[in-house]
Formats: sequence, structure tokens, C-alpha cells
Amino acid sequence: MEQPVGVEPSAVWPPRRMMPPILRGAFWAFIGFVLGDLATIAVDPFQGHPLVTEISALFGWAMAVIGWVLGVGAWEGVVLPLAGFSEPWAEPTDMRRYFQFSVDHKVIGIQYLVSSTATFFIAGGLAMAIRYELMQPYLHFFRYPDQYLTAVGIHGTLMMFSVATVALLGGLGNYFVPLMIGAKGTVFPRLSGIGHWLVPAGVATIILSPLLGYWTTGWRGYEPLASQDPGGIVFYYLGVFALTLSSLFVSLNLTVTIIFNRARGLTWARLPLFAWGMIAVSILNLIWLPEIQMTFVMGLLDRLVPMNLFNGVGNPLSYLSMFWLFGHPEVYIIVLPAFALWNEIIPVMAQKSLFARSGAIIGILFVMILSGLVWAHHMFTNMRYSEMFPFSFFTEMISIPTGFAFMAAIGTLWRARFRVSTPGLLILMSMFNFLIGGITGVFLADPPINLQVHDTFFVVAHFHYTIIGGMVFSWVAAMYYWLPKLSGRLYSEFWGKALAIVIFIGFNGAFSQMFLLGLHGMNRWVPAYPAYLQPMNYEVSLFAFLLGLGFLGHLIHISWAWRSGPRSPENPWHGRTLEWLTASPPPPHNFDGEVLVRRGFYLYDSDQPAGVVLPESTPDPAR
Amino acid sequence: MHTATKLEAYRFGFRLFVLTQTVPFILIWATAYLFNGLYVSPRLNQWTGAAESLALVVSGLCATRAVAALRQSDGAGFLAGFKAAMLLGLVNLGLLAYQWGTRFVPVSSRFGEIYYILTGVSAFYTGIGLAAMLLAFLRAARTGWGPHSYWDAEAAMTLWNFQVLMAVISYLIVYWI
Repeated sequence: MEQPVGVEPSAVWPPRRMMPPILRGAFWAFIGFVLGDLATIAVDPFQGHPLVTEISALFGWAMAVIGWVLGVGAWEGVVLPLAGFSEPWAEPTDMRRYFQFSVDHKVIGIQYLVSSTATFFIAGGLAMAIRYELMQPYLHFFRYPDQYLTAVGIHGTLMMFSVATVALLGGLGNYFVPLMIGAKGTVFPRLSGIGHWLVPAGVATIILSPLLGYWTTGWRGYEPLASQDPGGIVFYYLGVFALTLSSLFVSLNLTVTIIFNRARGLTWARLPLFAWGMIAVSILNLIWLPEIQMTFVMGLLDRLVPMNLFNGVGNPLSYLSMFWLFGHPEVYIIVLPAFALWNEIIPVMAQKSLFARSGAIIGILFVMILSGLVWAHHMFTNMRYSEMFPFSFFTEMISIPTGFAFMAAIGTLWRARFRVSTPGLLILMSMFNFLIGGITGVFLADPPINLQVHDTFFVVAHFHYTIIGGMVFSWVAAMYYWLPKLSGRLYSEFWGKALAIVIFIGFNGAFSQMFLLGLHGMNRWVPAYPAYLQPMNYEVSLFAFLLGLGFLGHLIHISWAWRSGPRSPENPWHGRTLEWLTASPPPPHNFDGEVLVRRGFYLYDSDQPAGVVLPESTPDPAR
Repeated sequence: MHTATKLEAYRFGFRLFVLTQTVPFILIWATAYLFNGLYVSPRLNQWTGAAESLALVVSGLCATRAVAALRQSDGAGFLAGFKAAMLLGLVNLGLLAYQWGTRFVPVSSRFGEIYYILTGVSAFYTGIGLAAMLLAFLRAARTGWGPHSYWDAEAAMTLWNFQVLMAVISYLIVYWI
């Protein structure tokens, strides 16, 4: 049954003379903002500024994002085909394809990786500014406290919504999940194609938010502070809306792709760990991202109409609950792919069968389930003791399925001849870091400790150990692991390991001391602090700068290897998952035939390959 | 991927997407209960609300029948059905605009906040549904669909019926419960 979903493009490029899509997108974003803004001002002129008000900025922003997305190619790639118009639009095969709307999951994956990496360094630059400020116990770099708090808010928001949520799901997920399940593409490629271009829109919105005024709430948009802040919080809501919409699109696409596009023989019992991680994260995103989007819409209406939902007249605690209903699953949205990567990479580096594979998957699924039952531990200071108990209990319980991921990894490492390559080393470092982040999380689940260290640097250290220590280290490991597949080239083991050691020392030097700073009384959200805390803050900043340099080194090293590294053999790690069955980098349709899976990918008890590529429509010779 | 499997994947994916969009409504319904309990403003006009909902329900039936007509190769029936569905959707929005225009309940009141948020969000989804139906309508008018190629129309109909359901539940919560 033929079910066309769009007019197939011709193979002609360029289809006609036109502005480069990214410039066209910027042009229409500008036009859209001006039109939306001025039209709103014309209708509603008396809101405090002759040209840009909070309300006009909202409508201008909406028009700008629509103009941007259509301008980069969604007009020809999505809207015209849906309306039945034939438009000769085809993707170029050279570098230009990375600078426009695409339906190739590999191009989209690389677009996401580049966007999230760029944002990582922008937000990381802000972290360096924050640490430079905290080297002295008084304001010396930022001029006003609100400047400092806005920098903290932009740092956190960008890191959470456009790096931690996006890099592994949108970047590695889009690129590798179809390859790992033996598919030739995704089910909704246009959705992911649009999704990527929402990331630059969201990032730009958040970076430009101080134009509307400073906002002091941090990445959480806390009420009633948000309702008292100047207008920058409006762009916080809007930027996060664009970024979460991007992740929602990718989650939907990857979930349906994993369910429907698996290769022959790839049963659920054989699904790669990374695909399990992606599907668990996607389910969390599909449930909780619409929830936080609606919460932010309510926050926006509260401010712009105005209403009194969450301000002092309303109920600020309702906002806190609504935020953390999403906010704590968000932590696992970030870290579940890291758990999956540990057990994806360790068996390959050890060339040993994965220990307790089912346990590792059950662990991922139960963390996913329990993550929705723990949100109120962020609000213990506002609760009765009797109300704390269930949230304390479930938070501690979540350490058990988390332990399953460790159990599978350690069981696999047991008596293995582990290759301490760069990705292997970074994975071990990630496990060490997350262990500290996880154990301190159990401390924080206990009300007496939670109430004592609430809003101190102890909490800052804890969540940085889980996110940088757990997720970012695993991300860097995965980049080295899959670099031969992405580029067909190898990196330098010396530089990879040396830089891994640099970031390990920088990270632990900075954040382990933050635990002590917190216990000594260093509060979050303050650019000025008691002088007795200065020496340790000074040290933390030095280690933080080392960490920043280390990440910059990894970026330079990976970029060099991607373009100029020595040629890699087809399967340098002797991995058994399906992405290693095809060329590096993979051809446009991924595999030159139909993929057939015959056994699990993590079994090293024989030399028989887990999968083969057969010419199209060939019956399974083993049957 | 086989074409039949592809269609199955589209259907599953789209229904999953629609399911995720119940979450914003559930959040507002929960907020309504949290802030207002079971209070209903005596200034509400139940009949106007009922007319709004009725327009959407009939519109949903028209859209469903339109897609059924397409399955029977009745292209003209499809166009007529979607046209009627879109007109009734516009009637719904017109009635809501009239109610908003009367400002029968202040936006700063507890009940008013929930009323305007819930009906506003519902109107937003109505607008999205109308846009989806318009795209399907335009495409059908230009290229023609047959009994074996009507996925876009089916998707628009699914989205529209989802919105009808959400609007009816919202009506019951705002006007009666």
C-alpha cells in the first residue's frame, strides 16, 4: 500500500539560485521578529517601551523562530510537500549539507553534536567567568550581583537543556541508533531535521536574554523570584521551550525507529545497550518535557497577562513541584545514556561477554520508573517531616537499580584483560566520578543532611559529579570510541590519555573541594562570601581553569583527528554491534544490503559475528 | 522497511505524539483542582460552553466521515467533510472569542486564571488542528488521494479528534465539575 508522505526531491543541487539556507534562516528570523514585535506594539502600545516590550518580544520571538526554521529549509523540506507542492529540493553531498535542514540521520547527528559542543564551550566560558569571580570574596569581575546570577542562570540553562539533554540523545542517538539497529534511516526524519534547528534558536534566545533584563532564578526559573525579576526571564522560558521541543521531536523519532526499524533478527533481547538507554530517555522525555513546557507557559502567562498563579499572592510551591516533577527525571534523562555507554564500551574493551546484561537493562528501566517518584527531595526545606519520608525512601531506592549498571560493568571487568584505551580510561573515570555523585546523592536524600547542606556548594558539587563526572566524561569517551566510525580516522592514544588525565585531575580537584566548601558554609547564588572561604575557592578556581583547558584540548585533539588523523581500520575495537558492519564513515543508506542479526552483541564466547549484511531480499542462509 | 510497516510506524508514532500532548491538559486540570477545588463561577453560561463543545464534536464526526469517504475513493466527500469540519472548528473559536470578549469573569480571579488558561490552550490546539486539516485539504485538492494513500488526512483527523476530546473534558471540568 503506497503511502506517500511528501514529494520526493529531485537529485538536483542547487535547485535554483537562493541565499545559503543558514543566512536565509537568519534573514527571515530577523524579519519575523521585527514584524511580530511591531505588530504587537501597534495593537498593544502602552507597555513601558516604545519598540520592544515583554509581550511584543514574545510574539516577535515566535515569528523569528518560525522564520528561522522555515528559512533553513523546512519550507521546502516539510511545508511545501505537505501542502502538495512539488519543490526541487535535495541535500548537497558536500559540507553545505551540515548548514541546512536535513533528513539524513547522520547529518542531523553531527549537526546536534556540533551545536551541543559549541554550547558546551559557551556555557563553559561562563563557568570560567563565575570561577574567576569567586576567586575573591567580593565583586570584582561582575559589576552587579544580578549580572553574576544571570551568568549562573545562563550557564546552568544552556548546560542542562542544550548540552546534557541534547548531546547524547540528539547527537550520538540520531547518528548511531539507526546504525546500531541495522536500519537505513529513521521513521520521522523531518521531525529530527526540524528538531536540530530549534537548538541554535533556543541557545541564541537564552544567550540574548539579558537584553530584556537580568534574571536571577538560575536554570530552575524559581518562583516567586521569576515574577519579580526584570524581563530576561521571558527569554528563559522561550529558549527552554524551543530546546525542549527539539528533544521531544528526537525522542519521538528514536522511540518509533527502535520499535519499527530494527533489523531482521534483532529482537528486544538482543537490542544494544545504547539503544535501551535511548528508548528509556525518550520515554522520560515524552512524559516530562510537555509537562515542563506547560509549566513554563503558565509562568509566562503569570508574568505577561499578568496572573497570580505562582507569585506571593498565588502558590509558589506549586511551581516548585511542577518544576521538579520534570527536573529530577531530567537528571536521569542526562545520565541514563551514560550508564548505557559504560556497558556498551566495557565489553568491547575487555573483549569479554557482558556480565548480567538483563540486570543492566532492568537497572536502566527501573531508574526510569523511579525517577518520577523523587521530585520533592528538592523541596525538603518546605515540607513536614512526615511528607519527606516517601520521597526520601524512593530517592534512596533509586540507588539500587543504579547499582545494577555498576554491577554489570564491574562483573564484566572482573578478571578481564581490559584495554586501557582512551575511551576505556574515560569510562572508568566516569564510573568513579558517578560513584561519588551517586553516594552524595544518597546523603542528600536523608532529611537531616539535606536540611543542613541545602543551597550550599555541597549540592553544587554533587550534581556536577553526576552531570560532568557521569555524563560529560562518558560523552567524551563515546566520541573517542566512535571517532573511527564517524570519520574513518584514529586519534592519538598519547594525547587522548594525557588529556583524559588532565580533565580527571581538574574535575576532581575542583569539585571534591566544593563538597568541603559546602560543609564549611559556602552558599550557592552569592558572588560575595566570608573571607575565610577564599583560599579554598581560589584553589577550586585554579582546578576549574585546568578542567576548562583540558576540555579545550580534547576538542582540538578530536577535531584534528577527525580531519587529519591516521586512517582507521574498519573495526579498530573489534566491536560486535551493527555499526561496525558498514564502512567508516557510513554510506548514505547505512548498509549495502539487508542486515541480519544472529546472536547477541555482547557474547565473546566464540568468533561467530553477531550480524551479517546480506544482499537485499536474501533469505537467511542459516534457516 | 515494508510500506505496510511504515504506515504502522507512522500511526503508532503519531498516536504516541498525541498521547504526549495530553500531559499539558492534565497539568492544567490538576492546577484547576489545586487552586479552585470544585468551584464553578456562577457567571458562566453553560449553554454557550455547550455550543462550543457541540460544534467541535460534530466537527470531529465530519472529519472522521471525511477520511472514511477517502477510504471509499470518494475524494469529493473527503473535501466536503474536511471543509465542514474546519468551518465548525472556526465556529468554536468564534464562540470562544465572543465569550472572552464579554469578560464575564476577571482574569485576575482564581477561577478566571484557570478559565482563560484552559480555554486558551484548547484554542491553541484547535488552531493547530485546523492548520493540519487545511494542509491536508490543500494537498488533496491539488494532488488527489485514493483509498491507498491518505496518511496525511488520517493524521489530521487523529489530531483533530484528540483536540475534540480534550476540549470536551475541559468543558466538563470548567463548566460543571
